[in-house]
Amino acid sequence: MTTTVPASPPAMGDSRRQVVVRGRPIPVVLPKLSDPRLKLSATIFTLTLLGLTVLTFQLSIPQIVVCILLSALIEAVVTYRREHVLVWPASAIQTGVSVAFIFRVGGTAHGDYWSIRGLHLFAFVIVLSLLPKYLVRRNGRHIFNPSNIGLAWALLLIGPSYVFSEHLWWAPLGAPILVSMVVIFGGAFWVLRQVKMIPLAVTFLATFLLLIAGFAIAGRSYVATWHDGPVAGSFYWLTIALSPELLIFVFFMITDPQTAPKSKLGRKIYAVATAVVAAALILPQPTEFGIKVAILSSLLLTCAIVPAIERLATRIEARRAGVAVAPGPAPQPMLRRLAVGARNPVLVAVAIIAVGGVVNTALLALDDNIVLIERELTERPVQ
Amino acid sequence: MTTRSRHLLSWSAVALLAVGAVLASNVFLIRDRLLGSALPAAIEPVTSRVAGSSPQEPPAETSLRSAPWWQTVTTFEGTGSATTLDAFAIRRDASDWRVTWSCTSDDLVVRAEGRSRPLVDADCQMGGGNGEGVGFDTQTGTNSLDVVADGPWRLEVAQRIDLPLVEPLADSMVAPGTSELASGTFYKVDRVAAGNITIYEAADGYAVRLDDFWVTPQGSLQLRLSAAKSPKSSDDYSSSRSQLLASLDVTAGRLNYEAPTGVDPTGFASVVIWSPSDNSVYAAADLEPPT
Repeated sequence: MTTTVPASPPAMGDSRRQVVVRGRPIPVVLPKLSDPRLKLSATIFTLTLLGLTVLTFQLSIPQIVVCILLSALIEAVVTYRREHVLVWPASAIQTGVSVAFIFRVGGTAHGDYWSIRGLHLFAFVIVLSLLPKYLVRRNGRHIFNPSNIGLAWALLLIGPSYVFSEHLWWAPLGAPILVSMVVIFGGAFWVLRQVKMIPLAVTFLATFLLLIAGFAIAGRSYVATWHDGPVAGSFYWLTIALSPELLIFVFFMITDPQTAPKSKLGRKIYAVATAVVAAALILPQPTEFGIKVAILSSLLLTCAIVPAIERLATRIEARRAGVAVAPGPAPQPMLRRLAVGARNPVLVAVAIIAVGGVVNTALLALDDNIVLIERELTERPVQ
Repeated sequence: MTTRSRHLLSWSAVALLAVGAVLASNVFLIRDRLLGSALPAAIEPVTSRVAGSSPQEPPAETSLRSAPWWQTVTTFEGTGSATTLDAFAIRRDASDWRVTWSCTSDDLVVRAEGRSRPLVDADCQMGGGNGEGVGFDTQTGTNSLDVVADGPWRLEVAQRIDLPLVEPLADSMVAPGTSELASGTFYKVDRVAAGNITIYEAADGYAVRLDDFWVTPQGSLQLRLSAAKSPKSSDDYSSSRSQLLASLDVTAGRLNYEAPTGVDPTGFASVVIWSPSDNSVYAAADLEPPT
């Protein structure tokens, strides 16, 4: 859920400010109010406040603070070491806000505002979110959306016995949900219009809603702690396809301009591919935990293949325009290309993150214990 | 940092990532073993309230657990003399075991082999010549008992386990003339429960069957008939007429109970799982006639 924009001077605001440390001037770069990352953080933070007050988020203030401060600190230090500039860590703060918004540690009670439960787990997610941002890069850009990779892999690594992500179903239809929806859709319009990502979000939703409707008609169901018995039929569709969490994923995560394709057609392919992968991973899942991880993991795969999507989009556009694509060097055999790729640690890391994430998410469907956890048939309450 | 050390560091990070991917897969429960799990390891449930019975088809393994309950292991009876009784096995996963004794004259001393302190050292004349009581031990595996007594005695050995009990339907439930009176599905009230209840009307009274059953473990739960329709709270239950249907000694599995003599389930709308120790309705099920 991290919409990152290039740290170009217009977006970053006044770069003439500076602080002097031990007689040495250090430039300070603060964000502009129009920075979409600030808008996004404001939207998510408003939703978090609603969750803490009128909804039933099992989240505490120390958990939020750890996420925001740690991510800001890491980003500020890394940026300073690289560029010797103090840059307001807008992207990292956004990652912190997003992680706090979605990640939950089992046993945290709603209303226990000062709980310090699982602070180390929140810190772990932040590290997991930001490390790939600095270490797994392609052409100077990070490949994976930071909060997406952190959340998906933390849920898989720590497991459903200890952690979960915010429920798909927040509350029955009422004022709190309506206000939340207004904030989500309003925030989405506010942010996505600026970064020109509305078509991508609409394409994803159209594909995804249709596929989930098909699953509902085919009789798929899942179990969740907040529902007695299986969630099936129209409620299956409603809780997945229109869950506030999915909307957050669509409006603020897959629409990250830093990790999405640049071309219009590429973005459409990317949106459809993400929707199809998400739906395919959701299909076998019998639990809410599996479904939520499936949604997050789908983006790992499509972020990894963005260059392939861009090439496909270029080829299609060229064919449409009747322009011959400039022939590149003769393609090497697949095995040779794999052998070359296997010698590149970044490519191997990308493959492990994307394929490992998807395979491990699919394996969740085979874990009967998650069904028992979601049905709360455990002596220790988990969610 | 040299190119070589940077290369080494990169591949070390990739190796760490690969280890993480294997851990996250939880294959062979690798993650659960390392980090722990909310659920214990899957194990085969027991199939009888008496140990040692072997069903034709063993039930599937499960990670569910019951509140601890007593499963009878064996029973011994005799009169007087010093006797070494047949050895018996206490499950390794039993938390403890007990000997429930009764005797009618003079003294009874029961000693588990290898222990210096007797399990039972009783004066049978106490209680007007009908002495009875319980002795406990925690050593699992094979055990045997030495008995020194002056008169008739009876010992029942039971082990405390937390495994689900998967019983076949009781004979009375499949006997000719038995009919299904009502059934229902449990829903959460103050705690969690799952599964179905069926009440049978047999020739000699009413019998209760719980299928795929699990309730938040607690040692003193009761199954009670309630006049309240769809009770949603302990207050709903308390404000209506109710009657004890069975005491739940086991809280997971497929269970049979016989209703106490004189209990008539007709005229009740629901069954609740009631906890007298914390005055709370754990769960409830509406009773519906068979369709």
